[in-house]
Amino acid sequence: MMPDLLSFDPMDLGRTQRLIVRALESGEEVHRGDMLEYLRPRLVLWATSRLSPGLRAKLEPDDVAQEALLAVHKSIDTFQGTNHRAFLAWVFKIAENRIRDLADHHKAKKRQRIEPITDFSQTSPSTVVARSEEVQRVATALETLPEDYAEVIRLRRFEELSVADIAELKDTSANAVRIRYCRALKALKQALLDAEGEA
Amino acid sequence: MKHDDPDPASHDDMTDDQAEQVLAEALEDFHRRRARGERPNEADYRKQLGEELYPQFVELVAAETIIDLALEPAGDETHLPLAWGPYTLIHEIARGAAGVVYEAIHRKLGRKVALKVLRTGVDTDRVARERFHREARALAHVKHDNIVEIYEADEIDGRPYYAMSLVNGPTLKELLKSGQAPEPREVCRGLAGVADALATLHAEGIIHRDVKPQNIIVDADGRYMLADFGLARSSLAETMTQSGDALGTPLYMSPEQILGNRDEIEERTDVYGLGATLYEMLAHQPPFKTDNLQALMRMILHERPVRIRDVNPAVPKACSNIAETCLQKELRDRVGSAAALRDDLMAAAEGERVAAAPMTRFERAVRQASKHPVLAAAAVVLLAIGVWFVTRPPEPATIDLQIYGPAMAKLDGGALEPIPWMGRELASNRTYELEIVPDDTETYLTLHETLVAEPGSRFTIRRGLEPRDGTNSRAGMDAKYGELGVERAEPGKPASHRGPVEYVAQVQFPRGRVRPSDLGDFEVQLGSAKHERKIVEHSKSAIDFFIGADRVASVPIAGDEAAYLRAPIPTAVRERAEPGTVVRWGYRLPGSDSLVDEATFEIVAEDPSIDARLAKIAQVFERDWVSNAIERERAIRLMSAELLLQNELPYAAWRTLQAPFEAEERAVEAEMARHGDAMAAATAKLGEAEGALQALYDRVPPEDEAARAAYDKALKAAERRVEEADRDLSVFYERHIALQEQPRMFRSLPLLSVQQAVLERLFPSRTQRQDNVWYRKHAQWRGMFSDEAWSAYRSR
Repeated sequence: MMPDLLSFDPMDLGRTQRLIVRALESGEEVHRGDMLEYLRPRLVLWATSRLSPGLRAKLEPDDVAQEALLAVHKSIDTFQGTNHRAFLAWVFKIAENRIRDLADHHKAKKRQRIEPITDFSQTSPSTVVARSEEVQRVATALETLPEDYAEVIRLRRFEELSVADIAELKDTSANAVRIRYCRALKALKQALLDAEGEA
Repeated sequence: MKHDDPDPASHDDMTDDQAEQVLAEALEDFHRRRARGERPNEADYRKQLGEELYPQFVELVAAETIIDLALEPAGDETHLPLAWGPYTLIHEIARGAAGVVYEAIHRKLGRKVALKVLRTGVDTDRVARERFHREARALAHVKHDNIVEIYEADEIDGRPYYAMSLVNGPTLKELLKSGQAPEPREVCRGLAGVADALATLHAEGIIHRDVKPQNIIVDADGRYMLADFGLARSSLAETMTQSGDALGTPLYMSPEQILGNRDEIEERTDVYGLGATLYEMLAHQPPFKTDNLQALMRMILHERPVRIRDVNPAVPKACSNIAETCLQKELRDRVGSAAALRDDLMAAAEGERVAAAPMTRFERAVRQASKHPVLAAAAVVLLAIGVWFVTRPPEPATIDLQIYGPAMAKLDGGALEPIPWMGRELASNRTYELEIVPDDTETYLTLHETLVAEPGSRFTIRRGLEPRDGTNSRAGMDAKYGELGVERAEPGKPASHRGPVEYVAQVQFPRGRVRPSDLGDFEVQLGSAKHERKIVEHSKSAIDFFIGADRVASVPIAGDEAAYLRAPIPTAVRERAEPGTVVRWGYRLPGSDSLVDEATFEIVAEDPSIDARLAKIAQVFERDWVSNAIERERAIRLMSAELLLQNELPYAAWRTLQAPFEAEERAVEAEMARHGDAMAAATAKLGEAEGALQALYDRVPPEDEAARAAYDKALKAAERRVEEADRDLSVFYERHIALQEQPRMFRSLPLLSVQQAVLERLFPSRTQRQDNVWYRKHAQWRGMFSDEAWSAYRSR
């Protein structure tokens, strides 16, 4: 069988869906592991952009992603249904909670070392952050964006919410969301270029 | 959009908001189609979005792809090594949007290979897939010392891949980056091998499509190896997300690739790529460089790269000539084939003369002149010599015709071979009327057709404004495009120009309420300089002035050479211009008593209070709180115009706004005209020298050594003259371009509402405004408006 690593296709929007549905339907540890590993870079990027500068000083996005994935892993059996959107929403809610918990944790000054990163994928040895170069590049660029731009990219690209959902969430029109998304992409592209220029 | 807009796909006049809206919708549509499982390509949106927006759209798609690439989970080392079909993938060498390249080993053969696995998107496009297999099979047969050998190409699990030999060594790009670029002759020698490889590929019907410094590897023996075949179509966004390139810049794409003209992709597309590579190896910078995709596309399509020897004088002329010839925009101007390129590169490497020469300045002048009216004056002079160039093909020749401007083209065919053109069959001895539908967003329509003509045949292309209501009465610009003779054309005979005079005198004439003091000069522009002869034909024309039924004055137009007539309002008019007088004026064509265009103005009394307030405005602004002189001037003029307008004096307002602009324009035009003369002189010198060279060359019997020596001597002398003339022309060109681009004070003037108001007052009906402004003066007016003001004005 062709491994997933070769099947990256930027045009394939259904991939996330397939992986999630497969994992939820089969319930097999292997499939769950693949899916969680698949979600990791997305969570790392999401967290990078989601953390406020204050928190960013205290929390590592890698840790947030790791914590969130652990939490998802522990409670995945409690998730009902196989709808991938619902699942993604659930995952990011957990991640959101983890950020809050970790932040509280810090406030209470009881920070303990976070456990070493666990790799969920059965087929591979150890992974830290995959494709770290690309992730780093995009993460750095995302950090320079204004929050509303970063947010719309998070919602649209990482959480895969539909335009209509985002519009409802942000209490605005679908059109405004579309336009903000385009602007955000443009800004991101510029940020990537700027970063390249400095490098 | 407006009914008078000839170009429905143009988004030029959109506000930013509208443009964003359109982009956002296109992107949403793109997503929707993808979600439905379709495979839209961003190029599908090119037509719809137009040249302005399309690059932005591509950038959006590329930005998304970059995010998606980052979202991609652990790939590299995690799952490797991994058995895949007969191969074991060892590690990843490179990854881009188009696919992944692995170092792999063929388990049975024990052979190490570089394995390129194409991304899934490609294999679902049936056409792309077929082409992949066809080309891959052909490639597998090609054995060449300078081609990274392709062992096999196939599919595993429905995924296309090809295996090629693993070459160790830096790419040319890496050599450049580390400052180890080989010296020019060495580069030519190395690239000659690549050109030979390309010639072999082309003979097999394979076009590489992506020749660039990143794709040429220098192996341990110093051989230049061509790698990474663009087997699948590579789109703009794909190019922009390829890892390793400067992010977001399709630096080495040829104009035809930028335009997405897939039919035009051919051998000479690779010639361009190799030329761009050579350019960068010599100049140590790519031919065009900018962060801005839109700017880059424009440069690739329209601009000439900086001359290599200006960047690096150490480069031998033979080497730079080759690169610059390969980088010509149009296929026919490039080195004709990869094989010819190889020969040139070898010759350059050996320090011999090469056949390749970029278009001479003269040739460029002729072409340029046909595009830019300002240069047309020179072109008239040049056409005489121009024929010499186009008469060169002695046999049935293929001629490309380019037509600019919205046009009705008429092709008077000689003995033309019947070929389908715009859906119609051409047969010989007929006149063909071709309706040319304006291209999507170009201001100028470019129609590129190849006609096969026999020796001795002649054809002409005529162009003009699109007729309205089926009549051509207003096609004032109808003029012969020029005659291209194939052989037997007579050198020295300038092309003739016929057609009605283009006169654009409307606004410069007084209109509406006018004070006696406003009666300054009036002005008539008789067509552009290109219609020089027409002015002579119409030398009996006149501007007539009437008060009541009396013709009180008649100003003859006797412009033998001048394109403009500028004259004071006649004394007879001034003398009788008392408050309450209504003056009618108009333009009279020869042999006719009726006025072609007429308008009236009414003299009103001077109002000292207005003058006082105008003086006050100037005084206020003269205080130095507006320190920038240009800004101050603008402010004064804007305020004054507004005041005059409030007092129902639109013509005075107009003059206030227009005067400095006109003075500026006139100064620039005068200098350009002087340059035209200089250019004509330099060009004549160049043409003469080149002609002498050619004549000499034809006469030298190859075996006669004495003659040979004499020829060499003459050659050297002639070359010096050519260089001299060439230098003269470059001085002209640089200055000319500088003049064209020189920021003019009132070009960027935010006149907006004031100017609009003035226009509306002067031309109350929309039809009048259209006739006088939009339709006739489009080109002239466009430059005076900011984009915003222009679209606001036109949407009224």
